[in-house]
Amino acid sequence: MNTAADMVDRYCRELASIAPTLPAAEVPWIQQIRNKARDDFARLGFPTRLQEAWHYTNVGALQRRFFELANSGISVDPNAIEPFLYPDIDSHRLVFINGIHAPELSEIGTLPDGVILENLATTLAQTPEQLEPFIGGRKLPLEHAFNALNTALLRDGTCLHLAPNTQLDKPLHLLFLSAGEGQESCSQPRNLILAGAGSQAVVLESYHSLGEAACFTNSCSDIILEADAQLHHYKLQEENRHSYHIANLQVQQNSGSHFESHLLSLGAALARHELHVDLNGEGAHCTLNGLYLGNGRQHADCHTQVRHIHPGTDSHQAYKGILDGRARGVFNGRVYVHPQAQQTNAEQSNHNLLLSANAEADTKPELEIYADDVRCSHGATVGQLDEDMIFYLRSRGLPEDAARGLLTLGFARELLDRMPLKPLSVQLEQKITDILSQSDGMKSLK
Amino acid sequence: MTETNSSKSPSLATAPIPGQAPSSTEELNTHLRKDYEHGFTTDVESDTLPPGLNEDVIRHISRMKNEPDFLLEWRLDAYRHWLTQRAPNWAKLNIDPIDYQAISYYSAPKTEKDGPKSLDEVDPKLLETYEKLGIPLAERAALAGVAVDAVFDSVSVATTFKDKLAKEGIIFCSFSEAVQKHPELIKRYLGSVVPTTDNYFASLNSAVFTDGSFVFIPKGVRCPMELSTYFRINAANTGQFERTLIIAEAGSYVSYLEGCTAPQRDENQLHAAVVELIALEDSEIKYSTVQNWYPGDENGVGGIYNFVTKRGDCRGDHSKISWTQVETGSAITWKYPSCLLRGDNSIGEFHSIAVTNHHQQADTGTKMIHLGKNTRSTIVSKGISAGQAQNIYRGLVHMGKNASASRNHTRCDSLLMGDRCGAHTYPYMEVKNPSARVEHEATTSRIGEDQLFYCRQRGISEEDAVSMIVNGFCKEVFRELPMEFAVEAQNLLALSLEGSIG
Repeated sequence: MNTAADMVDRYCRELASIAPTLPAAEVPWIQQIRNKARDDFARLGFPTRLQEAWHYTNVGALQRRFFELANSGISVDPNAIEPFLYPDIDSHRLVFINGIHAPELSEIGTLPDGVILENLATTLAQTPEQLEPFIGGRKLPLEHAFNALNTALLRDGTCLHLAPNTQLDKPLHLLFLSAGEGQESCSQPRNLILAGAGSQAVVLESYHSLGEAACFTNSCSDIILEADAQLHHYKLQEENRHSYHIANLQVQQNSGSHFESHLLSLGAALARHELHVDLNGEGAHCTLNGLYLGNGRQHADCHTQVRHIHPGTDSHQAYKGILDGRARGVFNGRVYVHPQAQQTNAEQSNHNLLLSANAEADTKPELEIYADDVRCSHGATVGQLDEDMIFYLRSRGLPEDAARGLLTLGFARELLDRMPLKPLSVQLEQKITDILSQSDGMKSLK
Repeated sequence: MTETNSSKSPSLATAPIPGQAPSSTEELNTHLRKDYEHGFTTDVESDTLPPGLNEDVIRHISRMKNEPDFLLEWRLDAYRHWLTQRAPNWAKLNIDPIDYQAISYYSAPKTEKDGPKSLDEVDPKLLETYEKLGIPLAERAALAGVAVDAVFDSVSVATTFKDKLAKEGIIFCSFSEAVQKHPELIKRYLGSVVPTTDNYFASLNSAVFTDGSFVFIPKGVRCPMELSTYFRINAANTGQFERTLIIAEAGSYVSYLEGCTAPQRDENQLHAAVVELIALEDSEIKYSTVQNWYPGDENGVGGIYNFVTKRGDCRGDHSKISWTQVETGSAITWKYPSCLLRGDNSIGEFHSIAVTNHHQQADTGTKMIHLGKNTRSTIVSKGISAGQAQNIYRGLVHMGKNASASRNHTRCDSLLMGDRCGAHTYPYMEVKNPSARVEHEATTSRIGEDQLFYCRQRGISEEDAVSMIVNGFCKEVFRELPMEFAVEAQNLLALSLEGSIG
């Protein structure tokens, strides 16, 4: 019988034992960061529902089973990754198996001048000083257990560096595959993106499973946008229904920069997406869109925190949930306005559609405002399809399930339509249609 | 007044200290037995207990009030549970630690002789405030605590009201009186909405409450007057641990107003009241609060802690409970008047204005727990923050599994006046039924320059313009207040925000 403390202890022992094999293990300051993070993880343990930020999400399941941290070196057939690629989108591609870079599957191609793109293990081994802006001291101690666990490992992931005024010519596709072969594996990638002043890039993170084994993904991404940089970030989470997906995205924005995030959460037994954005300079603005679908016993949790630190910053958040079966959707969005952040403009919305009697939606849009010259608003709704709209469609001869299907898809499409990368949104729409058509009453979507 | 002879009760010193519960139940039991053995001797007559809290104090309170045994047991249960609890700290509030052993939990009501003899003896500042609020002359003396016999005709007014209510079968009296005259009602309903184990402050209140109000509206009766009218004139010194219980039987209606717009002088720092409302089939309870206790000075020194548990239970089908509150006083306000919508088609409403200025803090909102079918709730919250105050709306809307076709609409708006104050919104929405609809919207802004300009351009002074705009902002809630209070509440708002602009 394992208690939560035993499990934390087991991870810590495992971390300590593989520490010497990790990249840059001999670099003292990296080693120090890992040790510190491990201590933080040991101190914090797994979050419990008594912590306000985890009130609606129970990670008890993660405390009952151990996911192997060691690199088991699974080899994957190149054909196996075909279904997860986007032939319509010409991209630079990095592939990770259980969080470890798979060079034979990756295809970086030629990069424009001033762009450095490599896997994190390479950076750690060759130029660890590049990590300084991301993990060099400023963020310690870590008060987030999963972030601490990821930092304690700090093994592999992506490192993207854009020199000032460069433009990444093609989208960067980061493909994360979880594969458990007879063991419960875990994937802990760390992605670091530094966009220099005036640079531009499009990044797509996608998470999938190979096979049906339960896996634990604990991903952390750190993004720094210098003045006037622009980053479009897409994330697709489509892991199998036995897996646990925890992700933590932290963004630092300087003046005039623009960050756009599009999240689509479809898979996993339990998915938790955290997005923290700090708007540190005048004119910085961010747009955060998200759509989560749940069926069966799935649990999807979206947490956002936008901190308006500097005057004259904007943020727009729009999240939607479609919940069927016994699924539970959680949204917790927070807008924080610092006392000196005057002329802040913040909008936040969360709309949920409950399709079945046993689905549940919990939403908590928060405003925490310390400045007076601000325009902040939020709205949240939970409900079902408008009967008038269904009637309208039926009066035009559509069968009821077709009407429901169309309206539900329309509900989801509002967010897909906001994606500038059209070939992607078309494919994502197909995925959503496939999922919705499995729901009762919407078979006709097929 | 005689002090209790503490040497007669050595247990006072050895009683467990709250928050530091004895490590084992065995130890606790030893204490309990010991306390019982050396309990107060009946021959000690005392009006005021020395500061401190233990079972003897509770027994003493209960005996002084000549309470039946079940109530004493109920109090002791609450106290024992309280010892196991820890003071909550989840609210976004800065609270100096409270020393519960430094509070005196019983003092006999002050006699009329202690008060000022006439209005001439009352602090002129207080009188000035009454003037500004527009409180009727006849009531000013009563509010200022002038001895009742000096107050113009108030006794006879109260008596007339009492007769009128009695004719309808309505029971409206102090809680102590109800315990003596209607113990069966108390036994049946007390703690049925807010149990003794509900929360830290509710447990404390259950253990040591001294008085409060009791209202019982019999079946099918529509209370012929706002109970506020009577209450205000008869405003008793109910102390810091107040207990209110209102029962509306099937088909009845009552409107009750607690507190008043006039500033109240109060020596007690901690106020932990409990209010329980019970609405049976087709009944309606309208509960309005105007709270204007001492908020502390401009530098945030002093002021009342107002930690209240208020909950209404719509037990019957088609019942309705509506809360209206205007909170302008207290250094810290921490309360969430709630509705348990258990009956089918029941309705809950919450209308609130919370004003904080200087260093005041308010963490307030509501909980709407939808359990029955086709239940509806409306939440309108208006928060105004000025100076360096923090104003927080925190609310829960819960749609249970069986709450089909239920609806909620929440609107909370915050107005910021000054660049050092804060306005925060923490709504919680939990929906477990697909046919339920929940809507929440919130905005935060300050008074628009263009709105001010428009008023100023028409020759309205800045202060008046602000007051006008703020009143407009709160209009929706004022509309819910009983007529005579709406006017006073508007004036009160202007007073509370005086000097916070320009």
